Order: sequence, then C-alpha cells, then structure tokens
Amino acid sequence: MQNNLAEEIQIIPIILIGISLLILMSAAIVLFFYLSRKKIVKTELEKATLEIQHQREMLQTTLLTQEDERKRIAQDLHDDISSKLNIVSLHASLVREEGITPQEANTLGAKIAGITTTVLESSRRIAHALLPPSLEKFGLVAALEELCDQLESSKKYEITTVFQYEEEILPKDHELHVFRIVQELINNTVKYADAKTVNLSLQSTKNTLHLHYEDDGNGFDLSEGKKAKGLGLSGIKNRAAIIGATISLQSQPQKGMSLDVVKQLT
Amino acid sequence: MSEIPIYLGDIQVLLALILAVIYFIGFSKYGKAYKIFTLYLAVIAIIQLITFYYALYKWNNIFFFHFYFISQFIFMSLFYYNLLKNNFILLILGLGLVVISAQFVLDPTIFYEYNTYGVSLTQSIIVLYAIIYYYRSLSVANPFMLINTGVLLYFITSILFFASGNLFLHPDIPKETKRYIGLINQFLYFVFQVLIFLEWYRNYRIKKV
Repeated sequence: MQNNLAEEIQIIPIILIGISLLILMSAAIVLFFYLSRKKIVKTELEKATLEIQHQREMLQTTLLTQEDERKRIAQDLHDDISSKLNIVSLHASLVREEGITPQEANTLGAKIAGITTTVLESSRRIAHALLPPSLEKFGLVAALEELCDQLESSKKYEITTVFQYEEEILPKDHELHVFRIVQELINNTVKYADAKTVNLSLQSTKNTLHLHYEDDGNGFDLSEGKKAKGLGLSGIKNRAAIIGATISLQSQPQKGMSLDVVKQLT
Repeated sequence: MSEIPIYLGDIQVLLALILAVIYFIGFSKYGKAYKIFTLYLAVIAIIQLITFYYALYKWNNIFFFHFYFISQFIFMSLFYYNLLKNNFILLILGLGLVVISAQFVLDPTIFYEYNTYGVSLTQSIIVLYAIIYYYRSLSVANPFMLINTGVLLYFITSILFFASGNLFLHPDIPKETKRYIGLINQFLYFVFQVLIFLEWYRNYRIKKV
C-alpha cells in the first residue's frame, strides 16, 4: 500500500508537467493561428489594393479613350459636316433672295447638291469608322478584310492576310473587341510605324483562337512604358483582358513589331 | 489559498447558468450552430447544477460525469458539423458513441469511476475539429472564433486532467495536491467561460439602436 502510494505521488508531478505542457501547446496553436491569419490577411489586403489600383487605371484609360473618341467625333462633325452644311445653308438662303436669275439659282442648286453629296459621304464615313456595318452584316472576317482593303488602297503597304476563322466562335461583342484591336494596330502602323509590309492572321482551332499582327516599321522600345501607353496598347490590353485572352508583344527599335493575342476556347 | 478553488467552482456554476440564459436570448435569431451551442450550454449548466447540489450533500456525483462528457461530445460534434459542413463528423460521432456504449456494456463498473479512455477520445476528437476549423478560418473571417479558441485551450489541457481523474478518487492522495490540480482545471474552464461570454458580448448581444 505504502509503495503504491509513493508511486502515485510520483505521478502527480508528471501530471502537473503534462498539463503545463498541454497549456503551452494549445497556447502555441492559438498564437500560431492568429499570427498566420494576420499575415495572410495582410497579403490579401495588399493583393486587393493592387487589384483596385489596376482597375482604377483601366477605368481611367477607358475614360481617356472615350474622351479622345468624343473629341475626334466632334472634330469630324465640325470639319466635315457642320462647315459644309453652313455653306449649304448660305447657298439656300441665297436662292430664296429676290432678284435672283434662274441661271444663278440653277448654279446654286447644283452647288448645294454637290456639297450635300460630300456631306452624305462624310457622314457615312464617320458612322462607318464608329461601327463598321460589315462587321454586323457579314461578320468579323469580312470586316477585317475591309479594314485591310482600305489600308491597301493607300498603296503604301503590302498586306498579307490569313483568315481561318469560323464565324460565331466568339460572341458578337467579343468579335467587336478583336476588330477594335486590329483597328488600333493598323492605326498605330499608319501613324507611327512607317512600315512597308503588314501581316495579319486570325486562326481558330478547336481549342484556341490566335490573332497575329506584324509590321516591319519603326518599332519601339518595350521598356518605354509611357510611349507604349500612348500607342493605345493599354486599350488593346484591356480589350484582350475583357475577352479573356493573353497578349504577347514583341518589338525593337527599327525592327518592327509583332503582337499575338491568344484565347483559349472552352 | 485552498479556499479559492471552491469559490471558483461556485462562480463557474453560476457563470454556466448565466451563459446559458444570455445565449438563449438570441436563440431564434441566429443560425443552427448558435442554437446547438446554446443547447450545449443549457445541458452543461443543468449537469453542473445537479453535481453541485450532490456535492453540497457530499453524495457521490461521479456518474454525472458520463452525462457531461457524452453530451459534450454530441453537442460539440453537431456544432462543428454545422461549421465545417462535413458528413465525416457525423460518422465519427456515431462511431464514438458506439465505442463508448461498448465500453459500458463490456465493463459496467466504469459507471462508478472516471471513464478516462472515453473522455480522452472524445475530447481529442473535439480538439481536432477545433484545429481544422482554425485552419479553415485562416483566410476567411468565420464566426465563433473566440469559442473555438476557448475549445482549443480548455479541451487540450483538460484531456490530461480528466485522464488522471481516477487518481483523484484515491483516498491516499493528499487533499492539497488534488486542490492544486483542480485549481488549474477550474482556472482553464473559467477562461473558456470568459471566452464564451466575450463571443456573445462581441457578436450576439442584442444591441439597442
């Protein structure tokens, strides 16, 4: 009995130590949890801030593009429509004046008709630039071909195109983004590149859609981010992001540029 | 010094009752997990009250301990089942109950002593749930974090306390030693209760607008 008691009394400190260790262990788990959570929350917060910043930048670019577009439309309307309609109005009021000979009236009428035709042509051109009817009516490939034809008709460029695209692989609004990307690229080539040849291809396989654009113009230094932004590349990036595609851009000064847009089709 | 555990014990019974009552106030307002936890608090409070009454008359209250740890296992498992949404918990609950029942059938004498294996097993399982719940809450804000912390702190440490429970029934162990070990357990249980209270105070108190 005595022996037994001695043994059990020895057990007591072991139990005490055990309980202390368990307290320590559970406190460690709790501490570990709270510290890890703090760290994770901090990184997530940083990530979210970056994301918001990115979105803000995207929004800003969109707004700037929108403003530019408005400015351009206003300019076009002012230069090509309003000024000419002013002349029409002037001529029309002349026709109404008393003492005008039929011959003069005829001349004025012919002038009015002539100007009206150019105004009509201008308004068609402006509307066309805003939203090409061929895209709506005949699809993406037709719209792209038209775009290339317009470029080719300037006789400054040699254009090679490859289109293997089945209509309606992409939804309509995505097709518009693809069209706008190409439009922007061609704009850049015309404005800055001083290129001789342009290659454009749009190919779709079962799983991927691949848009390739290349010119042999001036090119630019990729590290000069500001210049790249000026080229409307952020607009291209935004559009690619919206349709869920990735883009890769290659360019060097005096060595032209090429851009690939790849979208996985699911 | 030796008087403190007794006072702390009394306070705990009172606290258990208060906690059950304040949690009942929002019973219909909050979700399933809250309801289960409230029921757990109510059952524990009733068991504590009865054991307290028995102890007052120096009757043997040890068999209430079985009700205590089995109901604790059931309610806590259901509580974590609601938080973790994993059917595995129900399976473990069923298996655990089968094992404990088998224990009582095979050896009915354990009804009159601490069921050390049973209590260690069930408490360890609950601790495991609490750790899993911690893990799940690392990146998302989940409810009942304070209660979960209390469960971890109290249930881990009390495993050894209850596992050595039969030793305390031994008449030869000096009373002082029993008191000291009991004091540690009661202190940890008090911390658990405070955390339960804080959880209610911070998240489930009916606020006057």
